[in-house]
Amino acid sequence: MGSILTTPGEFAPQLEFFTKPEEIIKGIHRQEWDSWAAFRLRLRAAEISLFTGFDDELLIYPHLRERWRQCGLIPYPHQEATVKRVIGELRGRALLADEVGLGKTIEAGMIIKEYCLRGFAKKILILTPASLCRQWAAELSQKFALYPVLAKADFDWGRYDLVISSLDLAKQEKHRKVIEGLYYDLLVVDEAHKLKNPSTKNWQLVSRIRKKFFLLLTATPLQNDLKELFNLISLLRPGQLGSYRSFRQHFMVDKRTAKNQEELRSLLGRVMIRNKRGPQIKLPRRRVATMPLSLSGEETEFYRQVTGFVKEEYRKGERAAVNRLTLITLQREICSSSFAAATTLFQLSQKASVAEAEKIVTLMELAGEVKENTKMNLVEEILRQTGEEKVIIFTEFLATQRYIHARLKRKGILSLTFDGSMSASKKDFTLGRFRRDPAHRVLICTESGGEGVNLQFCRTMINYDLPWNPMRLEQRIGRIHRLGQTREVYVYNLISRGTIEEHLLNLLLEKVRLFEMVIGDLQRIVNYFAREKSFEARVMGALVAAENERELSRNLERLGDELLSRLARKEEWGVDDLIMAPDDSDRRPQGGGPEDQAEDMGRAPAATADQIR
Amino acid sequence: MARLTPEEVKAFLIDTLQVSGAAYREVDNTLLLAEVTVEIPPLFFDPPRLEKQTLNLVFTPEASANYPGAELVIPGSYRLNWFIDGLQERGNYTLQHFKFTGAAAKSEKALAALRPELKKALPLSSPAEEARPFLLVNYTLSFQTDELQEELVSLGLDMVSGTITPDFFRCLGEAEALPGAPETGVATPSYTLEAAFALLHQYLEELVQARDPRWVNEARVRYEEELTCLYQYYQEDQRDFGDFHSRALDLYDKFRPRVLVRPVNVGLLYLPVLVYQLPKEGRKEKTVLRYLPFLDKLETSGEFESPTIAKARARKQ
Repeated sequence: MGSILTTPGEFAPQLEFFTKPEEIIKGIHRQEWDSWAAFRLRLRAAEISLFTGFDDELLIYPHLRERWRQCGLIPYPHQEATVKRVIGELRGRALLADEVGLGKTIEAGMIIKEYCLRGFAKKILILTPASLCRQWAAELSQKFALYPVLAKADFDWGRYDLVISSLDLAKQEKHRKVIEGLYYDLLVVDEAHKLKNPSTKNWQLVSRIRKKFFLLLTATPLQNDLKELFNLISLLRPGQLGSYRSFRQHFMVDKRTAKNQEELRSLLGRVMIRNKRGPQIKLPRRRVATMPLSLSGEETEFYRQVTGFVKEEYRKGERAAVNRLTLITLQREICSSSFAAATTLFQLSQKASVAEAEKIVTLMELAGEVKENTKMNLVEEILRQTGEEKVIIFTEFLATQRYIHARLKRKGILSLTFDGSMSASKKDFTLGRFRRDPAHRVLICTESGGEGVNLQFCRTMINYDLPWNPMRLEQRIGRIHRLGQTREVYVYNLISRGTIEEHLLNLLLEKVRLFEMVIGDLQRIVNYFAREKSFEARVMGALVAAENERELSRNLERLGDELLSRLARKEEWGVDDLIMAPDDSDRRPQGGGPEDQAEDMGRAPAATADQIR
Repeated sequence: MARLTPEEVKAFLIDTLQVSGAAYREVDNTLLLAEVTVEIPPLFFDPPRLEKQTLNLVFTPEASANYPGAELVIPGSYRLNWFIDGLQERGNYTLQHFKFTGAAAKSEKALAALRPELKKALPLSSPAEEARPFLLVNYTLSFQTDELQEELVSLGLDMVSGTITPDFFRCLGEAEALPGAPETGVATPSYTLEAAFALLHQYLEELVQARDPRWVNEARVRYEEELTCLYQYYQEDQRDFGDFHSRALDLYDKFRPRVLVRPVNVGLLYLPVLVYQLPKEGRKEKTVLRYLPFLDKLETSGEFESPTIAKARARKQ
């Protein structure tokens, strides 16, 4: 067969003898003869173990059937199809981009195990964010009988075959050098959206690791910039999208608009698999309840004064003493708790001029007058009504988290806190305790703490405050509303009347019907706002521009209209637009949302915990 | 992994239990109870602790439903692999000899089939029996590119003639093997073990060369496709050529064809050879026929002339 790239000699099969004849001869000379029956049986065992080629059957199923029966794991058809496609058609190199909660880790675990059983992979490296290392180790050992080592020392890389490490550890100079000198049969990188920039150490490390098979896992392969997608795909298979210059010419109108989408979709489809919720992948029903509450007089006054201060500073633009991001944070904090806002106010007072500091100190004094947060009364009521059920309370702010913890303690309710500052082992311990100890029925979780964590053993969630980014809200819910969840999921959104929170929820719930959307649509919203300003900034703009609540409502209404018209025109693409064919209707995002996906119980303005149960 | 029926899996397990001396009981056609010794890993106990365990084993999902808690043993299952792994320590080397147990008429019939001209000389006088040493090596051949295909190859090397017989193990069939070497009548080997292995390796090389080359060619096509793709990424942006080179080498390493040869087990076997001496005819020397019944092979030493040819020659004279 003629070729300009290879010579026949380069592709002449080479025999590699596993055992040297001298060693076999030594064995013969030892005269440790076994019986003829044992000899025949040994040969029979070898015959049974022969790998006779790729067929449609996965080896993991018979191998792990007993274990999966014991641990209650039943792989879903889309997971099996993904494993078969990665091992077959994609030849072990894929971007697994399933939506949040559809079991990417299980798919990766199945692929790893399948390769191990087929004798294709021995030396395996898994790179994840530090917070997920232990979760990965637990999943692999419990569900796949794989026993990885969590890398610590520089000799771990060479000594052990199956190693899990954080990207941060692996990229440290002393570790990086060792890793780059090794050859891996399989490399898996979780949360791969952190690998979008080729000038980062993360990207360079992953690019330089020598590997035969390669899996990237992320639910958000594409956010704002097509170049990021190019970088991610080029990491997986350099040249799949050509060089950057050719990619830009052929596929990009600007950094956020693609052209020749059919062709691009076809190219992406050869390396990327994205499973989405829909008629074929159903999750238990999700029940969402809005719990409106009236703030106390002190709280209302504090909210009014802080909002006034925020508006005033925000309108100053560049002349403001406080930067806009801090103002947005302060406005979000005031919706969470007086304690969260007081923390930021204190920090501001330290840097402010005398005149400004006076204003801020006045606000802090007001915060001091708020002794109890009304939201907590409702939390206690929900906890009372949910009986023995485990409950997760999400908040964005540490100060609020501490306050909730203290209040529950006072009530005799044992709770655990979970946040991003905790060490991996402490996180592990906390989750284990929450799961197993009936006495601790509440987990108070911050956003950063909850990233990537699986809590589907629990089905009740309270959003103590509302993140302004709708994707974040979905990611919170995704912790419990994911594959493996067998019961209906209850989500309580606590909303203070007369605050931006109330208007925002109205926008998301009533107008955009957030909880009926699929994630692809959410992503499009986020993409759209990434063009100009973030969604948070637009909400803030609407607040600042409003003189009263009516105006605020009208401003947010307009924002909603803008969103809906953009969604209807499908001008804003998401990853799903690029990897799914237009006629792939059963897998495409559906505006109305499948019935089993969400049931919003929050439209009645005064839903109570009683109505929910 | 090979496809096995539930009956075959069960038979394999019973054979393994028998060889290892473990107690077992077939409760009925579907449930097998086995008492096995399990080694508790040295990670926890040093030296490893041995513990007796009773396994309840079934072989079909239907039986699994009838016996809740019993372990389903099917191809690829953990438990079947556990038994297979356990056998790694057994049956690696064996020394056996075989006897010819057939009737004289049977061997003469086989001789006549191999050499029709012998028919006229039948019946022959009783043969002497000698034992010829053979080196049997069973190998697993893994044909690796980015794909994998495995085969079992059983080669028997005649230590006297140096001839290699493929599929040697199958030639032995269900014949009874007797442990050890025969005490008398053993032919002297002409080859040392080192030379024997050199011949076997050479044979394997030839075997691989003669194989249908599609597995190599297809891998080559895939490799070139990958290489072209990689080149596209690097050529226009004039990125680091060293980087391209190292990635290209990785690709080559992934796709290049190699055959990993693993010995499964080795046997020193003595096979019977029936030695027939044909009477001296005219000026011709005595002819000695050596018949290897297990391999159905005939060797001739001295000159043998068929009666037809002998008569023709006499007429001419």
